[in-house]
Amino acid sequence: MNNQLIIAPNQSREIIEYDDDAHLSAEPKVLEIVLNENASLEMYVLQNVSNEASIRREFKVRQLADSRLKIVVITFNGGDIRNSYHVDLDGEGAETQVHGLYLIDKTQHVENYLKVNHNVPRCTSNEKFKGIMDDEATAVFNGHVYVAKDAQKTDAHQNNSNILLTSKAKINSQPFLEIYADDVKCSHGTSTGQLDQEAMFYMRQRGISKANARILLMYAFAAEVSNHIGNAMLHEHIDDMIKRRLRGELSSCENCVLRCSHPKEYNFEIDYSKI
Amino acid sequence: MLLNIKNLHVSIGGKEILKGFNMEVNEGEIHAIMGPNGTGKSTLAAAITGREGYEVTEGEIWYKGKNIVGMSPEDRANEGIFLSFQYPVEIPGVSIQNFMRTAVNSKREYQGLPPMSTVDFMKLMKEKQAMVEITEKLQNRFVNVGYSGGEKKKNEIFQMAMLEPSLAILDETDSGLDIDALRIVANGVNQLHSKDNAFVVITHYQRLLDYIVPDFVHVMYDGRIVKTGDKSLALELEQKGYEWTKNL
Repeated sequence: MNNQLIIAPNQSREIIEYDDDAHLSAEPKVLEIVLNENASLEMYVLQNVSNEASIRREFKVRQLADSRLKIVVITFNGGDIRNSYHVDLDGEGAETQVHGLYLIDKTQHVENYLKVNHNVPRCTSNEKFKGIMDDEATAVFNGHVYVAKDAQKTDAHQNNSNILLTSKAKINSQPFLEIYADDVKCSHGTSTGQLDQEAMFYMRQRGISKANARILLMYAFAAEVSNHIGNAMLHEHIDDMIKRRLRGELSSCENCVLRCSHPKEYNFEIDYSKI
Repeated sequence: MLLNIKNLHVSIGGKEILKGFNMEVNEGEIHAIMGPNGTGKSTLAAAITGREGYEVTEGEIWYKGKNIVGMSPEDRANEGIFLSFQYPVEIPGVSIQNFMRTAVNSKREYQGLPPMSTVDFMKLMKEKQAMVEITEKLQNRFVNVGYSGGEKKKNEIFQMAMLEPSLAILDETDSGLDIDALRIVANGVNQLHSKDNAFVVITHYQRLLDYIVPDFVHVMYDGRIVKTGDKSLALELEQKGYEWTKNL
């Protein structure tokens, strides 16, 4: 399925989407986005489907001069999810931000593929992907930033960081920079670790229970992505969903139109004894 | 008696650090513990606060009439034990306000009290900040992130003032402090000190004890107390050096 979204010059739009178009097949849903001169788009996508469902999303973006794009994709739940982002920065002064958060457990699997092409000078790109992974959940981050030969004054940064709550959770993280210009500011990084045990003890010494200290640390980690949501009401709603997800209180059927296919409630307990 | 430590043996990873430590602390008292590096001072603080990995192999820690060995760190904290950390931990993403609010309300929940109202909480924050001369707004500051050594220690005393402990342990609170910050920290401690609470001040130097005057000074060496005296012992120690304690 292909959709096109074209934003006219000087126009700005905000799109909020519950990505509930889940299938048992792996048919990709492609969205082609064109941002004309000085156009702006903020797009927020929530993914919350059952453990049996898979999602394939592709975002193909072309940005002209001085256009601004922000995509934030929050993955709360889903059996097998793949998001691909392809951004061509074709006009000077274009800015792009692509951020992702995935909170997964059981045997769930999430992949994020990212390709940002700085084809012309003076564009900025920023990507932050963060994941908290429990049980035997697995994820892939593959980020590729390309800076063309003449794309001077490029400002490009990407980062992937993960908290693995068990020894069986796995992340395969590959941030990659390919630079052919010589006057650029670029950075990339990846980090993977457990919950900070020093911080855990510090909080518990102040009387905060182990369970609450864990939630507070995980929420603080996740908030670095959700803080990019500009819409205040949506931000609050998503923060609330994150907290409930981390407490194991969020149902995968919530906000999903496919309620019928999975009438039974799923229980997403986080096993505190594993930390 | 507030705290009574009897023949405490503590090991880390099978290595014994505390080797029969004894101490009695009553309400209203200030105790200083001095001694060279690696003698078990911080291990003592960790054992009293219940840090994981510090195994009590023998002995008892009696606090308010209960042997607290085996009690969780959060329950000990909510019973009124506070540790001012030697190295306060940075927690990115958690604001000091949110952190303190969760801590204050955790203690209230433990005591069977309802959560504190926002208005009362903000008032309390403002009052306690003033005590340690923290003038900036803390709403958006993350716990200890980007703080200098002195600011971190002031922040510890601020948290102590917020939680009003019965037993406060200050683990090398003076290390890395300039004279102004030292005065502010000591001032905070002296304001908080009352006949109902007690302080255990762990320090290398007698300098801090010019500002926080102890009732007792204990000298630790190799996992136990080797000498106890009044504040003049700290001065003697400063003159003679720690080498002297090895022969006690």
